[in-house]
Amino acid sequence: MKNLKRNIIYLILIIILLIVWEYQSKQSNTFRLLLSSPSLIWDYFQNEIDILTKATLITFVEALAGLLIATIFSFLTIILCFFNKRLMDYVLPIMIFSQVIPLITLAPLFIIAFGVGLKSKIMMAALICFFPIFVNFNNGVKLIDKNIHEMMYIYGASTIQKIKHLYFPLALPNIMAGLKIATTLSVIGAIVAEFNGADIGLGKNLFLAAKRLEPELMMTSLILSSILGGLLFISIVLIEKKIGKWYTK
Amino acid sequence: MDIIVEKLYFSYSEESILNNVSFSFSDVSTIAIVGASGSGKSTLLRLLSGNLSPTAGDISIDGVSPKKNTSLGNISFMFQDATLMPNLTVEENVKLPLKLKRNKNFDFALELIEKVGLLPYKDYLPSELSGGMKTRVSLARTFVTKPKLILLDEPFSALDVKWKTALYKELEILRKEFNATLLIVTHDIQEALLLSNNIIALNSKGKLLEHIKINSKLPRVFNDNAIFNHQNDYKKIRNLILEN
Repeated sequence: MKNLKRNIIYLILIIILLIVWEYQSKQSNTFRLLLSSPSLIWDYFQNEIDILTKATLITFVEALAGLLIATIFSFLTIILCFFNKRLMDYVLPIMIFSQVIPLITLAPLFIIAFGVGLKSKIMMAALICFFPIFVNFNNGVKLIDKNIHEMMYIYGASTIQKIKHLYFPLALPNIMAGLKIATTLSVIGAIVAEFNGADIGLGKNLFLAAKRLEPELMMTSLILSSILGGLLFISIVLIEKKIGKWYTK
Repeated sequence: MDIIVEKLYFSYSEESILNNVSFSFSDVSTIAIVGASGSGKSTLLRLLSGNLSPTAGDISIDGVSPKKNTSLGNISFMFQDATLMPNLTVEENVKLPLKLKRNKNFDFALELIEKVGLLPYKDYLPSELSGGMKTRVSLARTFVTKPKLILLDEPFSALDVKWKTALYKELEILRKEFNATLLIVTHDIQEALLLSNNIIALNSKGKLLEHIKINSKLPRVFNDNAIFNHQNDYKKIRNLILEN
């Protein structure tokens, strides 16, 4: 009931926003050139649906593949650190130092290194997602109660058993928090890489829209990239609801 | 079970926690270590479990080191809080030590859950249980590996008198059934008198003050005048701790 009430309020706000937007674009040419109007955007979307869908799918694949690679790579790195605790003393400072570099400035380098195809965008998305997943997982492990570690010692748990029964399950809230941050970052990574050179994608659309002053292309691409980030985020929330019942209940 | 502690010292960096502690027990069933906060009781327990190594001195349990005993599954530990896995149900929590030890005797876990009266709650998560119920799960888990020595770190300190009375009885019944040796650390002299036949007192500097023997039948419960019968022992231990 509470959720329904909230959703109705959101819906009303969106409708008001669309009406004001449409009205304002009819009143001012500058406004229309900058933000277009809901009706023009809808028309544009219907006319260009094939190209827009293709661009969205490409960006989705890049973001998802980057997210998966970052997840696998950060899990493997942290698992290695579980086997050799001292390794973390070396890995963590490198991780933190790597964040000093504004990662999006590496996008041109990735284009040169991996070409204008999917690879450079996937690598960019992966690079940008790695840190939040890794750091959140590590924080989750640090938060595990000291007594639980001691209990694992008493029952002679091996490192593999600790990974299975202790680190992954009890750090799950933090792992999922890291993944939620990473989902939106993955879309940003893919789009920024596309700005620097791509055959197709929402980033390329945004780049062209700014160059050609095409507000409809810009707004449809913006809305589609938001939907993309939202879908990835929701999918993580659904996974969390399924595997993290003990703390989401 | 023979427990020998010889000239035991332990310090964290510069801070001395235990100073020249020596005691030995042979074939005793219940031991309590009492002392004020910061006297090193819990540290002593962790040295006995092998989780910490002494700065100097020796510990031997049935002729072998605590670490060896722990790896053999001879030692079990009950913590101050129940220390349950929040992601596992009551049943899964009790089964966990068996899984870690690759022991498939899961029926025994259910038997223990029934013994502590939690069979109807076996599918509950720890967050759905009261403090006393959590301690009961922890009690069942402590016995599931059939340990020879059970180390207890003030596991009942957060419970009310009603739960304590029930759990003291359950603990003694299980201890007798599995013929285990029980070693509890507590700051509560009354609890020590109710649960053990041998009490050792530590002062605030981690030095052993005295070993007191209690000669009456266990389990002793609040309503059988146990404390009244041991007034002198109570005063003796209290004065030892207060004066040192």
